[in-house]
Amino acid sequence: MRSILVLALNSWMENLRNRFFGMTLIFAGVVLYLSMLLGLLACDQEVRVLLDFGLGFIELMGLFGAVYCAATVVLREMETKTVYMILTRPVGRTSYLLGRYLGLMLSVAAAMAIMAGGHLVILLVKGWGWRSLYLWALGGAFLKVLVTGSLALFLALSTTSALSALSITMILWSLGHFLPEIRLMVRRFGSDSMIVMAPLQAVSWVIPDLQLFNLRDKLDLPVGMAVSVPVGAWLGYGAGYCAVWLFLAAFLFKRKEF
Amino acid sequence: MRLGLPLALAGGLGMCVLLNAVFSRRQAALTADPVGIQLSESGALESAFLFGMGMRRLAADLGLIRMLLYYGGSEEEFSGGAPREADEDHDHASHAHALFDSDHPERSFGGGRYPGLGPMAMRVLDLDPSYSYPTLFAAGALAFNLNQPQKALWVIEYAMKRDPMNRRYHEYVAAVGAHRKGTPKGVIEVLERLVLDPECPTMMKNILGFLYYKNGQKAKAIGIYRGILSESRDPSYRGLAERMLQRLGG
Repeated sequence: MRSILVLALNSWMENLRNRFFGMTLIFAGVVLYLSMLLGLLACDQEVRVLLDFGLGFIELMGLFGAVYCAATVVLREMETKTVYMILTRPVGRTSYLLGRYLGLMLSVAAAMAIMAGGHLVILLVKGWGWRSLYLWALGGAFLKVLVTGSLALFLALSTTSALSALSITMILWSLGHFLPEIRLMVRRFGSDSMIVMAPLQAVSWVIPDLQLFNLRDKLDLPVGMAVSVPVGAWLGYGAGYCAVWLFLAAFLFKRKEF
Repeated sequence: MRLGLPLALAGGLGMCVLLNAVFSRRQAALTADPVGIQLSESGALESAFLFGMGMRRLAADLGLIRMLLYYGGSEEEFSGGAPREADEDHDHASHAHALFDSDHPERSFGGGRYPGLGPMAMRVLDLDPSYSYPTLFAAGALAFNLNQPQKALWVIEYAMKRDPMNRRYHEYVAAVGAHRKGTPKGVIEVLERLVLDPECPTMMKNILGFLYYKNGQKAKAIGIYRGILSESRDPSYRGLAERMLQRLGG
């Protein structure tokens, strides 16, 4: 456990020094500025537009950072043989992988928190009334990134190609958001065209339902209207999916020959 | 050991199925659209992309911005891209309107017909059915500024099918009804209730201010325009309010 934490902290520090994260933060700043311009175009609805653009892009920046690093970091270390420097010490392969993943997610959490801080300042200056739901929406977005990051790590190790891993992850991210629509489609047309719908039905059982974490859609319900945050379901579902992908990634990594 | 990987994969996928059965499938399932989406092909790619990224509200926001740009710009500028529709319910000529005289502050926007306004608001509704502002804006503009109350009712009716419990739409129907009867007092009565709603477009407040002005209720008109000046985020309406306040000596 200690080795996992040491590796996680080490990865976090490495990532913070990494140019990619700096660029991500700069780009996020530019996007938040652009959202202010778009907000001006929305006149009366400026705050809503700022809220949606900001939260959406914080999530996307977190996602791109997490998926890119998850898909490349272990493969790069395997290619450059720097992985030997760690694995020749008394560190198990599973610990190495978990440490790298945790470090990466710590970095993403830090980047998302910084971006959210900037976003909140803009919102409050523009007269948005604070609601704790904002933090829940951000938490939901982070859980999506956690699940998708673990999936990217598994795909990187199974395909051994960062590009393939990135592409498949983004496709699954997209499908994960369409899951309620996919299920509706299967229900409506499943009985008529069973053969055509069967693969779609199988997919709908396996891919993570990312809409489950999407609290952003309920952010501007009238004050006083209770919005239930399914914390238990979020944590159980998110942790379960991360555990599955990380278990499979560790399984593959253990069998790798360098 | 050869069976190790397939077994691990099968176990992993089995866990995914279990997780979906326990957590995800318990969520309220999506039901078929009761109205039937009438999305036009324009902007379809953008909407699909944003839906896939889990940003449904953002797609609706972009739809709203597009609608505001359309209505805020000159009609000819947008005629190439805006959706066209049948003109059978356009009662511009048949319904001479007391509001829309040479004094009307919205004259500065150039009047016009803006046939794409209603369909654009309906498109936003298709993207986010709980978002009422675009409907309120488009219906208000169609009924009170562009003198097309029938089209305004058509848009509200579409919105009511999606969100029948929304009180705002019922108020709008009453306002448009009073407006069609040519009873400014009736319109004022309804608009006074409408402008208390934080979602009410500034445009409607502006219309109420103008009705007060035309009705000789100077103090109330000044109150409304001062409110617009201090609260509105729309510079064009703030400018209009300033001009009206100068005219009213407020």
